[in-house]
Amino acid sequence: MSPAAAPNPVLLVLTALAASVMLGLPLISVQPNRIMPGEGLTLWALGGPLAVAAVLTLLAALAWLAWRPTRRALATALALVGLCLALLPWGLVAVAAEQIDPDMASARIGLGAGLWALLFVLLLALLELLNRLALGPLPRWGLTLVLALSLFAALAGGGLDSLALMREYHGRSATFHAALRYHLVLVAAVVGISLLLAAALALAMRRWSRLQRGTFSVLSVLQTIPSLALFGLLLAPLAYLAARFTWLGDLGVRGIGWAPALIALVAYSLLPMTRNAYVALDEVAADVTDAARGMGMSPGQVFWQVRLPLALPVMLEGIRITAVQAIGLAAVAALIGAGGLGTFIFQGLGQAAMDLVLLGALPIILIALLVDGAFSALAEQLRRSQGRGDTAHGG
Amino acid sequence: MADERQAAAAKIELDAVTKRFGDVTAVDAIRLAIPRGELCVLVGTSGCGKSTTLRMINRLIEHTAGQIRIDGQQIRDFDEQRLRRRIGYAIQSTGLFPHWTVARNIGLVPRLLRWPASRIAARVSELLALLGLDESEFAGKYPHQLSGGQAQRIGVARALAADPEVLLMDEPFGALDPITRESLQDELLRLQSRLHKTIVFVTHDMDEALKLADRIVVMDAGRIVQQGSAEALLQAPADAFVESLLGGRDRGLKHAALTRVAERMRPLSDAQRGDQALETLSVAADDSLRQALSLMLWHGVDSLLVNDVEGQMVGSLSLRDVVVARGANS
Amino acid sequence: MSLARRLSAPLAWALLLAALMLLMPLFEEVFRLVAPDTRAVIYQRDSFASLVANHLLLVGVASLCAIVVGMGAAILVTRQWGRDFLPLVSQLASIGQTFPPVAVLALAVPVLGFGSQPTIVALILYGLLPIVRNTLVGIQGIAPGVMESARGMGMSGRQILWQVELPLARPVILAGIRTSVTINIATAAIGSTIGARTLGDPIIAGIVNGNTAFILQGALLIALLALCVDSLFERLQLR
Repeated sequence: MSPAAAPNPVLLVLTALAASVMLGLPLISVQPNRIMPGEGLTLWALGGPLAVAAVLTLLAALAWLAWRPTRRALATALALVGLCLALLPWGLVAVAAEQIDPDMASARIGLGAGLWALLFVLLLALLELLNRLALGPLPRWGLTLVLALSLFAALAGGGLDSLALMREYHGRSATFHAALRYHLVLVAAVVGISLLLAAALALAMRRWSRLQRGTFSVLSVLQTIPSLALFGLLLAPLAYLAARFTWLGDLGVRGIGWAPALIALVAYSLLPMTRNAYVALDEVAADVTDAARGMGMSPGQVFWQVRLPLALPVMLEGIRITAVQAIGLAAVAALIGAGGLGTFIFQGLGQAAMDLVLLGALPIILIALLVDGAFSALAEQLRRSQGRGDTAHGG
Repeated sequence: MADERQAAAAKIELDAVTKRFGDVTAVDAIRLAIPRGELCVLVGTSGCGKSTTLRMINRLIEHTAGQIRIDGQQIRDFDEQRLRRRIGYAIQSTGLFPHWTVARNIGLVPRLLRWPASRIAARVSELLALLGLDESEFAGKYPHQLSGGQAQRIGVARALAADPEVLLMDEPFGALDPITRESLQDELLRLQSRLHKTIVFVTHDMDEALKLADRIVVMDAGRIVQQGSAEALLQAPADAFVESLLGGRDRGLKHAALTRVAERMRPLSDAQRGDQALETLSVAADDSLRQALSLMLWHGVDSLLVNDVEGQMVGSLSLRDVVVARGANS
Repeated sequence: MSLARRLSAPLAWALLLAALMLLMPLFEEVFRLVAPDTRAVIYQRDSFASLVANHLLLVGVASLCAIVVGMGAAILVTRQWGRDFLPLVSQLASIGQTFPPVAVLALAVPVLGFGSQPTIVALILYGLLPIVRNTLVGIQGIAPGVMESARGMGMSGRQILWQVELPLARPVILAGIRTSVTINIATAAIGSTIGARTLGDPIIAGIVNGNTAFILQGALLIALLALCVDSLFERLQLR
């Protein structure tokens, strides 16, 4: 028999955390209307001793699996944690049905600190288990899909409509979709424009190496200036230009709105984009390009067939950083009237309506995570299809 | 047959070729004529200009003054890319494209020359077979999946792909372990005995030069110090620098390594064969004198039997035969 | 002399910042050009000096906490007995960085309410990530040969940490702290929207009242503050 595996302290700690969070913090709150603060309900209040016992049994099982973390035990734990996450929305559906009187149209359920913390701890456990089991991308994406489907089904069934977040959404679903679209278009435009500019800059710097120092120091100074300040600094000159040249104003260029947002976001994107493009092109191993030239490839062939494909994964990394950064900064742009999902955040902060804040913040985080995951996967795929992108032979 | 060979290889001439980088003269008015089918090794310490000389031949570096001719035509008269496609090029780090498979890497120059796909595929198979690599195993691999020796073989195959007249090799085996290096050197000699390319080979390793070269060109500080066959260099090093490159007091052993036992052994008469059948220590006729000497030293004997390829006893070699005065036999 | 020269760039920014902060009213006529129609051209609700001080205080406290906690966590999980936590922590640090700082700031409000406190917490949380990540990268990037020879010479774990790991990882860690502080300065400005007193105040007030001059004053001061701190880090990294 193989020696028993040592206990996994990470899972044990997470299990203990989950227990204290579930027992100590209010999971949800029930609010009679949008403004009145709700009454926090703990697990005990919601389900009585039976629920507490059930949860403790589940956590004890997890702890037991973590104590003897064979591969099989870890796989079981993964299934358990995945099940918990998938059932979480349905638990909410059940709680909502019980706690909310259907006749009270404005009564709502707020997600309590305990639930958020639980979600966080469960996701950490999921990450840890996926790490330990070293599963490939397929099971990972499969699991993500299952969880997303479960959440979507719970939402589509209408059982979660009494959630405060959903109440806010239903109150302004048209605005929400418009803001979402707007946010995405703004980010896509920023990424597209800065990609073109960065490619031009990188090529220019490769040709005239003296440009390099100056360009990078200007770009990094730009990157340093806080977003709010940059939006503000652009306001005056843009307002002036729009007043001076009416056709600019007709195009929608004003001191506030999308114009300063676009310019500022492109300015921020240029540093990561240009740096990655330049470094990627520049770091292609000299012996590879030397061999390419020595074999009689034309400069164009060397660039398009060798240098660019080898640089692509690193350039993709630049696009990923830029896109994620732009998704977050576009939220700030809502402050200067650029619209997008940030609008809900700042409206919600202004009205002290926290669920409206969530309606803006959660999609932004989700989009950022999705874009990040998608680009990472793409770069990984590219690296793999290129044989890891190493320059020379390995062992 | 011989004529075909001549057509497949070219003569390279360097006429007072100079390369200056700013104020520094890297190569100083060197003259060199490499006949068709010769394996010429440029050897010297790092920074002596040997690599620069090599890279001037395919115009990766443009020479500052003088003329470089291939088959009597100045290389400046060619389009540089077309010139390079006619010249094979293999370097120490292989320069294999990491994002291409082995097959695609080998087919690079044929593709640049717009060969039809079927011909490229056939050529790739041929080359893999020539270099002793199993096509089904290697064709689809990526460079990082290869060992150093395999990658270098692929590098050589890629250089040979379009059947170039000239092959330039810049320390191709420099990064390999001694055993792999030796087997690749043997491979190169075997290939050269079949292909008869005009090869310019750069190395800093004098043993490699002695082993491979038809002609050794010793360079120092951008000039040619001495050129000639391995034998000639060992017999009469031009100066102290060449002598130190040749290993100083180890020179005798290096020379012994170049001489085959068959050249010094005493053939046996039939009667003698019977007499010495009891003696067990033997060397092959193809082995070097150095190996024979080593055997004698190790076993404390002063004579050995010599076998031919089939293991037939063909002669004997005594210590006296080995230490016969230099040049007496050549 | 060398110290003065090394600090010349940050000093220049600092002087510019101080001058603008204290002498803003002198430029009234200049600001009137961008906001000709408004009565008050210079932001009066708070003195600029106190806004700068408060902004720096928020960022300073948050960054200090983030440095202590972030480096501490990274060091813990790179010790032999903390190794089990390493994959999770390093993954968390890189995933966390995709969270937009504004979202983190906004999410702190439901839990902690309005004011400086949630701002500081959000700044700490977000500022942790680049520090953790860079400390991990810095320590793990040390050549195995170096660590092995340090152990082989008989250095204790603590000696290796202080004399080998941290000095070698220093440039990478400093780069992480620099990123963290830069983001914090920017995020703190947005903290104005949740009731923290920062240099974002004039900008928000300007946006609300349509007063371009206020916006410009806030924006200039924040930009100068950021450049001053950033150039300080740049010098620090050069050493």
